[in-house]
Amino acid sequence: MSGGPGSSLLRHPLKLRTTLSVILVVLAAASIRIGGGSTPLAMALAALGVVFALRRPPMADSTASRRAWTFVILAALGLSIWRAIALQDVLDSGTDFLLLLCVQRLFNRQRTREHQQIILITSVLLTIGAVINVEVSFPVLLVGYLVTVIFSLIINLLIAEGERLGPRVMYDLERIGERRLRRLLMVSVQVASVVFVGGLAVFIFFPRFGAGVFLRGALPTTTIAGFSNQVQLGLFGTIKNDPRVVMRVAPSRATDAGDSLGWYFRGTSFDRYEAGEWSASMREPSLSLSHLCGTHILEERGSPRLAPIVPGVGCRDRLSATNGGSRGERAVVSTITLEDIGVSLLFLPDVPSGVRVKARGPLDRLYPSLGIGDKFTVTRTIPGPIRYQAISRLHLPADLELAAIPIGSQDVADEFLATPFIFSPQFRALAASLKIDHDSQIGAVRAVLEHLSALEYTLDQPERPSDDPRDPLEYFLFDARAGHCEYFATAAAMLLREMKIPTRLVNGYVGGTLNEYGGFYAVTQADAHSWIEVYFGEYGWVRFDPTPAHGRRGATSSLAFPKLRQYLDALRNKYLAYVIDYNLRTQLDLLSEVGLQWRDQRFRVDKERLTPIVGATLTLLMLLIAVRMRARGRSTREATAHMNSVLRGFAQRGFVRGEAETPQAFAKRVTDAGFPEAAQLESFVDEYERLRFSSIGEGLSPLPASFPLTARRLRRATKSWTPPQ
Amino acid sequence: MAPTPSPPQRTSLLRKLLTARGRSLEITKAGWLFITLTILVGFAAINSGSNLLHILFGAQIGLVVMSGVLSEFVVKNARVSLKLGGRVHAGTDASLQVQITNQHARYPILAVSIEADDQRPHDGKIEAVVAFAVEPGETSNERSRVRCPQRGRHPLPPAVVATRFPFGLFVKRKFLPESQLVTVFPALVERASPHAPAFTADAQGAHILLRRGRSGDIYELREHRESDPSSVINWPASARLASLIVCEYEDNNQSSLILSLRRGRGGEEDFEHAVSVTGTAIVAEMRDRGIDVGLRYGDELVFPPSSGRSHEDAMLGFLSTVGLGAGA
Repeated sequence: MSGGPGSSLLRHPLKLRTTLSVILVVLAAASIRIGGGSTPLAMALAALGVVFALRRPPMADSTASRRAWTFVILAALGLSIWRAIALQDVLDSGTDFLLLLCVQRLFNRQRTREHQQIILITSVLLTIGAVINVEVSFPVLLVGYLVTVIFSLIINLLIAEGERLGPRVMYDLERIGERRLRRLLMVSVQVASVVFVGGLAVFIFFPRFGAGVFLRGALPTTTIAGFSNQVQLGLFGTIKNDPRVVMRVAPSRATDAGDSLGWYFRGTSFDRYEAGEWSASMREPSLSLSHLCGTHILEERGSPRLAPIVPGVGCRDRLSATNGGSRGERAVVSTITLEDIGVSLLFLPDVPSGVRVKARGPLDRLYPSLGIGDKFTVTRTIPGPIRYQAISRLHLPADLELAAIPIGSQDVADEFLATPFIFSPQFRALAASLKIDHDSQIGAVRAVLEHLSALEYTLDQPERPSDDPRDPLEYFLFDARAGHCEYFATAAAMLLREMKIPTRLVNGYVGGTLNEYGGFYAVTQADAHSWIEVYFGEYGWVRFDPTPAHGRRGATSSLAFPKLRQYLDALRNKYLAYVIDYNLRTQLDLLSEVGLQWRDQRFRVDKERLTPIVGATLTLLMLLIAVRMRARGRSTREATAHMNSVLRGFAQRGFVRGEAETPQAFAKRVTDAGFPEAAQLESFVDEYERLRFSSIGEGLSPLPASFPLTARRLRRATKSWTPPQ
Repeated sequence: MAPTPSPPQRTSLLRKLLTARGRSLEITKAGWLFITLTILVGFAAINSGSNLLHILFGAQIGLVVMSGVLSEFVVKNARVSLKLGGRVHAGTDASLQVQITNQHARYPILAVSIEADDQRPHDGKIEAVVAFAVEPGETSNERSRVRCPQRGRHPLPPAVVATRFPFGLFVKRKFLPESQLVTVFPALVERASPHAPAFTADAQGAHILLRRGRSGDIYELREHRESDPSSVINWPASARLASLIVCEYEDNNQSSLILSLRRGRGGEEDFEHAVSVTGTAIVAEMRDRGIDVGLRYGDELVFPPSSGRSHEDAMLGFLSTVGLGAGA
């Protein structure tokens, strides 16, 4: 796009216009791609199309080219409609089609019209991006887009004036030069700043009513393996290398965790294991959900795990843990921001007691429910991260408390005791050997965990021979003796079940690394983990982790630029909190801060808060007016001074202005006497009267730069003028 | 040629509603598209409660507001002066000098154009000119053309200071005050050849009164009269026609003519044509042939034959208003 050596893009308005159009397409495409819209194939094809279009001159508006493009567009339209209807792929098909239109316009980029259409199409793409892209990159793209689109609109306007008024004006346009185009760029930046401030003002002050006339379903997002109702043994471990942050956890009170939180975030549990695959088939019948004070509370055999400290007084912060392993233990409340990883799960610190889900706007309806595998689920109507408060008991029963529970005493569903019949005698012998000398469940559990601790933790398990007829678990236990958390947890679960101890596998996350910039703990995909829960009667399901300690946490500390990653993640968290989750409640809180409180369906004025703010605003306004009035007075005085100097020049030539003579009349008298600069004098007097006597609204403009120059010119003219005698 | 006023251009109701205090606002095609998109985004924002859509909506509203502020800045600070570059003949393009002065002390004005005012119907027209950038306090001189269809003393066709700056979504216009009266000379008619006489005698009520002489071009051939001296007999012609023929010549030494225009009323087709023919003759004879020209209107000799630019202007000035009455 650039010219030869030493040349500048800014010297060629037509090339500059094309470049700006391409930038707009790139920015708009990026905004939808980052949000998950469009397909990589379509993006690649569009990029190729743009490059190809730019490497050749604009297509002549011939019949053949029109027919060719009409055919392509109609074919693409048909394909898009088919994708939208048959594949339910409305978003991608729509954005792909819009990208094709952009490429087509770039091929035909001869006139302003094509570039204006590109601006329109890219603004539609950006609007789609605003819906689907909740990344912190969107505001950055938006600012870039605003500057570019404003610059592009100005350049298009100038070229359109040339097209409208003919070749003579086009020639003038080409002479505009680099300096003025740079100035136009600066104007664009300034206008974009004001426009962005306008956008922020609407964002902050425009009430979020959320009419909800048309709603759409959830958009497709990236789905993470391991949290559905079925999971293949070994697959879950594949995400252990993914450093993306999935959760940001902010405990409401200080913990002694330091840099590492180490909490277990429970996702879902599995009860059935068959042929190397876990599945969830049932829900713990003793568990149910109740709703109190905006909180969904887990009840165990009809007894809530949380209850109001003082019933009937109020809801906020008045819930406390009432039962569990350590009675009277206070619940930990943590605010969790969960990224949209394509599952409807809510991950709660173990042991969960309740959850408060925050809607992301008036249209968001998030109703938690208890699903198969005792998991908290919530259906998203809007894609993107959600925020919730989790209330949990972190304390587990001590071994001493659990020691009273003997093996085989539990009345649980058979699924929690079942093992696949294909397990070999070697496996059953191992289970029997570990059970020896242990009457209590906890003793057997410890024996199993101790046995497994001798195995090696690895994400690169040796490949199992394809002709090995045994269960993959037995290959892990007896041959490979190495594997990741899923193998350890499965092995522990199967061995304990073989001992008739009810056990289930749980998938979730463990860990949380302190983000010092954001003041939260970040949980990454690499922190995905599997562990087991063993049923201990009145203590319920108790968590145990058979994986060696060094394999429990994801190895993300070795990533490049850890500080930068933390900073960006903190920025994103703030963005989600203050931009994406900004809603009517926040607006009302802001109004409350300035003294307008919304209570009982009406605003109440807090005079103590409002008065200083109103006073400060009025003072600022008056100062502004005073400054402008002073500027007006200065320009009036300067105008009078210049007029007097011109009059002195005429007086020296014998023309003295009469006391009752108006400047206009005096100018006419001098002109009639043959003063050569009559036109200059006329415009000077007009300007003087405008400055001196115009109404306030019009007179606030400063003294024009041309005024003193004209006065000087007139004084020179009076000196060289010889009036007739 | 009778003046035929062109049908007044229709101004949309919206344009009328958007006209006030010396300004008018027109929404361009791109502007309509932008407004439609803004409304759709606003609807989507309110409907969904999406915060990012609210930012977009606010930015679009901001663009509209900035468009209004910047276009007002341009038209407010542009001072325009229109000056004729020469004579104006009815129905003929004349040079018009357009001076656009930026009155602001600090900022340039951009993309300001001077155009004909389509809201004040007028038969004349001004060719649009644009100044892409005028620096603070500076004046941009642009050349335009103006055409007035009728002779007389008229103001120039109404003009406006217009700008589509900054985004081309709207056209903001500031009405320029009516100009001072200018003299529009009669229309010039076509001549067969630049060297031929302006017109033949007795053309549409206008007559040329030529003086006979003894040299120059042949004035006429006629039969010999008794009073004619023998020196004026054209012998070759007499021999061919077998009769005495006298040849009379135009008087080149005393190169003057008086044009005679019969009385008439402005607006009558024949009279207007005669005025045009007379005006053309004045220009052609005085400028091209360099002879003294006088003008008789009806029985009255208004201008005796003379030469010079001021004499030519005086006669054309007379012709520009003759027959039109006081209101011309």
